[in-house]
Amino acid sequence: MSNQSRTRSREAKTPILSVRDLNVEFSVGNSTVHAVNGLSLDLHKGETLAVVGESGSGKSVSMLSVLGLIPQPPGKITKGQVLYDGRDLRSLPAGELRKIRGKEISMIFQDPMTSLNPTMTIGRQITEMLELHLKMTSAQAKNRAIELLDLVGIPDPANRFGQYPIEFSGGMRQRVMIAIALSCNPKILIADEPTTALDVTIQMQILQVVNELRSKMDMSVIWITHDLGVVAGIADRVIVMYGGRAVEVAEAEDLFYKPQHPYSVGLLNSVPSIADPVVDRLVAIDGLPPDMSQNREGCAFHPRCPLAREICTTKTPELENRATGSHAACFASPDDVASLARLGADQRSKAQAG
Amino acid sequence: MYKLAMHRLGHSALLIFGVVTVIFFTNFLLGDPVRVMLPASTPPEAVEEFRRQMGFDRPILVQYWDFISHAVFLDFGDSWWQKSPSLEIALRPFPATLQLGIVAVALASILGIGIGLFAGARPGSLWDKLATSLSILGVSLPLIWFTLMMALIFSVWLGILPTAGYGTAAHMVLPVVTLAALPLGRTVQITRASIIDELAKPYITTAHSKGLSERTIILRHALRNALPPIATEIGWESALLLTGYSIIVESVYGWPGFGFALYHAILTRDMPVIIAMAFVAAMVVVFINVIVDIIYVIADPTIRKK
Repeated sequence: MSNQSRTRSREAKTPILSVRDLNVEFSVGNSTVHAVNGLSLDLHKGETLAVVGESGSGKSVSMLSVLGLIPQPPGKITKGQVLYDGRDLRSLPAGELRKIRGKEISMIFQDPMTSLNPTMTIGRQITEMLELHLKMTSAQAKNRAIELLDLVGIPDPANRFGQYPIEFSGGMRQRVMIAIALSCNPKILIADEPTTALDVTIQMQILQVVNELRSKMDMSVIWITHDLGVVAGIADRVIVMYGGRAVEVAEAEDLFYKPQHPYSVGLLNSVPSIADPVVDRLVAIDGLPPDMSQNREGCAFHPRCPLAREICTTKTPELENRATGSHAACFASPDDVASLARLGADQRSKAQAG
Repeated sequence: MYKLAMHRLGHSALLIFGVVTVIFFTNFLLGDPVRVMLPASTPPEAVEEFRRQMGFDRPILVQYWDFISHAVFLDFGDSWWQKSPSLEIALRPFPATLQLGIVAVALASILGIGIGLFAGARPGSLWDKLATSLSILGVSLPLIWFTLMMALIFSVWLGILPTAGYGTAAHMVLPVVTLAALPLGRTVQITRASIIDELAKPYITTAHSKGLSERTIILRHALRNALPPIATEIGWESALLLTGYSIIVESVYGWPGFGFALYHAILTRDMPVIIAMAFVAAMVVVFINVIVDIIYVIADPTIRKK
């Protein structure tokens, strides 16, 4: 199936989750940090959508905002809609939103060492979900929790049920987090860099567990990461975020072979590869990430962009359809971006040769 | 666990030994005990005779040995003024203080934790500011002034509570309220700070993402983790109540308790009684610490596994 037809078949369906023009701010002292500036995205049924970007690009904040989980204050969602199942989650009363959290949309987090309650048995941390959302009795919940621990690959689950987080390794704790998140058969799983704190072999196992359970449970997954290797391994589609906005939305394969935004090109160039080991130093994007407390004009990436022009300093580009089927927010012509990508590839092979 | 308990026991014995020793020697620093016990007009020969009788003419280390070798069998000697064993005199007023102390600590703990949780769950709100201001007021009240003002307002002006004495529930109101004020203020502050710390931790975000209510998150998840510093503080307040606050409060309200008795023992320089009371107070402090340790283990079951 070609990319175009895959995209078209997805667009025909209504998305399961739709974020429209989301804006999130944080008040820090006297200044305001504009963490998310008009993010829009669609998540389709059964797909894995990766949200990538560097630290501070707003990827975690925007996904936490979907469930209203940013601390308010200092955080504030100033604008936008989060449409799930025909309802705007932002305008739901707190009690209704709580029925969606964990039951319909659940999350796993970056640091499994601190994301579990240290003074509660892991069994109880699972059963409280089952009792709350599925109204199970404590005996039913216990049986189900042991099944779930088994499902995420924890050996000897009946014994592990009564143990505390301190008795688990990092990878095992992340499996427990997954068991908690999946306990009520959610429609959507939001994974906020769940493998960042784990070593690479464990990372692989966690990816496999989630991938397996996704197809088994017919879930959609949003996977936040800054690791393009993870994207390649798990994602159907990718959203590249920069400065609190989506700058490129593409099929995962297209992002790697036909990047449409200069920032995506920069990201791909900076990935060290086993095939061409780094001889001198890693390729990096020049300049610094934007200061999100400054109100700036134009495209957030223009100070670092090799293709920046006059217009980039005054106007903010919107996401536009590209010939490849991807969407990119850039004033540069697709040909210029393509040659920039070729240039990067050349430099890399030269560095390898030299 | 067993090792830890034995370690604590040894530690406590050493502590009590230290307290008793320090009190023994400081008693001599306060002046010649014989001069205090005899009227100023006593002829010098009679003073020396009395000194020999009491054994104060011996070297101080000999006296100390004499004292400590009896003290290990809980014999602290007879009171100088009342001819009965000083430990008995030290223990007699104890139940009256316990009665006040338990009510005051329970009141301060329940109200303090409740208000602290309420304020800490909504930091910066009007309720939080009110609770914080009141707790600062409670902590900064000079106790001696506060006890007198309360007696003045409720007993003298309004006439609804007795000024002093022991017996009915009405007699307990003023001592309990004044004893509870400081611990209440501090418990509010510690609980608030501790719960704010806990609520900022990642596992709380997890709990929110599970769809739990604010109330469940605070009571089921955060409170237990926030408990150790609160338990330490309440334990400390309880010890302070026995050995500090009760002296003022019981003296002002004429409550026949430990503080009142200690005040009298010090006034009359009744050395064996002072030492016996210091011993009792040290024992109570040790006991309170054991309770705090037990609360630690209940709050954080993983301590058992460490």
